[in-house]
Amino acid sequence: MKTSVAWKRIVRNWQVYVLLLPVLVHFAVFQYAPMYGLQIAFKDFIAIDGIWGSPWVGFEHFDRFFHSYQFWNTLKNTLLINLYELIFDFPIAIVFALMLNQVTRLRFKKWVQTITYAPHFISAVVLVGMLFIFLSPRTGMINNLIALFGGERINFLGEAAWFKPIYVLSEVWQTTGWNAIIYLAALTAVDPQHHEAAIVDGASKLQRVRHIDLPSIMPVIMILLILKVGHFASLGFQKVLLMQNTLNIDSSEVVQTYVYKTGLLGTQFSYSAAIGLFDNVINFVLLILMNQLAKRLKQQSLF
Amino acid sequence: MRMRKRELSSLALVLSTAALLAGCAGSGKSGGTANEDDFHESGLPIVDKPITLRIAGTYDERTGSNWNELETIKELNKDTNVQEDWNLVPGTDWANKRKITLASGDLPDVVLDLTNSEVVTGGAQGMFIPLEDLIAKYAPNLTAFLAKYPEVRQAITAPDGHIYSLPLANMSQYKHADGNSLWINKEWLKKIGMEMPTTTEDFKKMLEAFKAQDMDGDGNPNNEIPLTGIYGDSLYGLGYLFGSFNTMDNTFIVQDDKVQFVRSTPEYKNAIDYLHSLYAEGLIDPETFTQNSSQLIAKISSGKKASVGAFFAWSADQNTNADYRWDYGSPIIPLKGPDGYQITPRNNLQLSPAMFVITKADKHPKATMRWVDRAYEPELSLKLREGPNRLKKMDDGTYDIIENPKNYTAGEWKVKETPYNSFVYGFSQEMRDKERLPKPKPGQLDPDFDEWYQALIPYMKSWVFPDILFTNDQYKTIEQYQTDIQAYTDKMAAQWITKGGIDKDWDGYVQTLNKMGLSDYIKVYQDGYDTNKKNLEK
Repeated sequence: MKTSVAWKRIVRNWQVYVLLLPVLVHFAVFQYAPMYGLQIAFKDFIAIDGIWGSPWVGFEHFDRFFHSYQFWNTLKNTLLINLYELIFDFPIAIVFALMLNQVTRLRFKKWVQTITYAPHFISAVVLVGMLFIFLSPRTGMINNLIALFGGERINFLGEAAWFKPIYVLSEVWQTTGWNAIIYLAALTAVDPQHHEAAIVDGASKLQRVRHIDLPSIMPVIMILLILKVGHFASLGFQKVLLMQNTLNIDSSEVVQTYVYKTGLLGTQFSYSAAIGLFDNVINFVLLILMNQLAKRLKQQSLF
Repeated sequence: MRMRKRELSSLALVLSTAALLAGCAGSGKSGGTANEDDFHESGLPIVDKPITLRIAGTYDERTGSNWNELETIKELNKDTNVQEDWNLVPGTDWANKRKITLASGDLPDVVLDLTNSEVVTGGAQGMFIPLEDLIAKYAPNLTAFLAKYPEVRQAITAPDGHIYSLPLANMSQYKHADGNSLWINKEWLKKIGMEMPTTTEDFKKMLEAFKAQDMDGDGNPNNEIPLTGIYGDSLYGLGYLFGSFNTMDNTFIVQDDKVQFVRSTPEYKNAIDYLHSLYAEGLIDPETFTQNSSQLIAKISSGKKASVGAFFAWSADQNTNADYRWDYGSPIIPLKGPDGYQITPRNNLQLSPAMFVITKADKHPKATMRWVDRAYEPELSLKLREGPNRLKKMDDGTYDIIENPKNYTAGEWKVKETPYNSFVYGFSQEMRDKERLPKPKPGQLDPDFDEWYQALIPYMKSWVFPDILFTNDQYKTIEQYQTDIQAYTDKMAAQWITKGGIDKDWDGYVQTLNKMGLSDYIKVYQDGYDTNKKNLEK
């Protein structure tokens, strides 16, 4: 009985479902259909035999990765960099948005906003090029400053210990303004009546931020946090790869760069597919866990 | 029921969209199906009806990617009725592009510039066709070249007995010299009153003097770069100095038929130790570990005068500014090490076995073979290698060399009108002898001259691992170990050079290598070497 009711509703509103169709097609063709290629993670991929024709090998590639010299190191680096981003990058955008929201002079506000999100449009190649120039041990301005104050010049990009701070800081610089946009949008939706009432009650600016603004954007924060945790075991590999060299490789080899090197450069397609799949499984598990946690905390959740 | 139909039609829409997309992905084949009756076993044209070969490869950036306009390619095609649809990508993207092409199975007719392992694997899988019969029947020039140099035939023959690829071969003897040499600022040497160093100790003293004094005369004695290069690069790397410690900066060397993994030998340890002693005193540019070749070249060729103390490269002539390139000079022969060693590798001649394969997609393999064989014709090979612009044929059969005009560098002039090392040719010592090469001017010797090679002969050791093809299974094993072992040893060496501690770490390092499967890795190379040796003796 119930299904036929649902069916009738669908039929009655068929135009709406037709509008949905392009999205479904997109997902079917570009997101789900390519997944059949995942099976090469359990196969010994031979190009000429194709994906279906290659022989099965079971969990051999996974086994090799788990016992590989690179396993712990790549995983640790990937998770740590993401953790640092979560600690430093994620909250800064929120704080920035809250602060910017308090600015009353519109022109100044727009000016600051433009300046802070402009770096978002710089490509990774150019950004890393800039890092190389700024941080050069011989001619870079940071090192010139250090030397001016009598300090020892530091080969920033050649020190494993410096890799993660540089990566995360440059990420903060590049993404804070952009990430703040979504919070700013959420903040404009806060009912001004709340603020007016709070002002009448004698609340300070800080109290209003804490008790009105922050709770209002909490759902948005939670959603973004869940999404962020959902690719905790992944990193945009382009920038990492460009910043990598033999001296900092210990802290800069992440899962994605390793997949690139073994898979594409080393032509071990099956092996790298297995690593990639493993990585995504971790992401998936983290996403589910985070979502459950959010539900428990009676916060917004994805599903 | 009517509703069902609607649902069905929307499903049909999905399916047809998918089919449309799939249709886009499979690329259209070109060339048509000329039948083989068209083909002529000898004489021109090769085929009656014009055919177009789809060829994927990479190009020298100095030449550009429009090969159909190159004089040498025009000559290659002349009257053959064979045309090419070149699909060329820049050198840096080529490895990725090639690997994706091969993995996708959507093959062009011909692929250029592969790795040995790709050729053997692709041959074993049937992706590339065996060429030995075609060579015997339709490639007289190449057959003659291979008869003259049996080692080239050996180098392109896979362990299964088939030949899957055609070589680029420059068999002129001077190519035995190592590509990596040391260039020293002679002006700075004069300033500190020293001669060109001959020992590692003198070299270090020289660098110390370069560092301590205000060499470039800008009033600041602290901004000199005594020595620069690119760590891990075969051309701009630190390899030259390894000869002073009785070893080579190669992954594997062969001593008395025994394959050695260099990076676990005591000689290697000594070499790294010496490099650390230089680094610790600030004599090596710290950017050696982070810069790439264009950054290095910019560093050594900018400014109005020679501005670094010393650097590593094939030739100062080709890398630095024309105004002061000969202010740099080379000790040429290896420096004498603390234990008196001074050796240099006797490199394999310039031979790329995996330069040209015919894929199973090619409908005209015979015509392709006849066409490409023209590139091995001695005179065309000479032009492909040395550049048609530079050569003027004389009446006695020799070739005079035309110097580069002002608006070209020597390198640009050489590769003008030829794909150079991105295509095939078979160049012999005989052809080099036919060139009337200019004699080097005093103080202007570089590795392009035979005199350079002559000077190195007494110090040469034939330890370099030969250019061989492994079996498909061996390549699988190599791929399994190569990436990790290379990355680990690179990392440790860089750490030891910059921070020291090699004595303390050494035992643990060797143990880690063993855990990573070093003995299996070495064994594959030893097996490959043994098989190759047996075949050569036959």
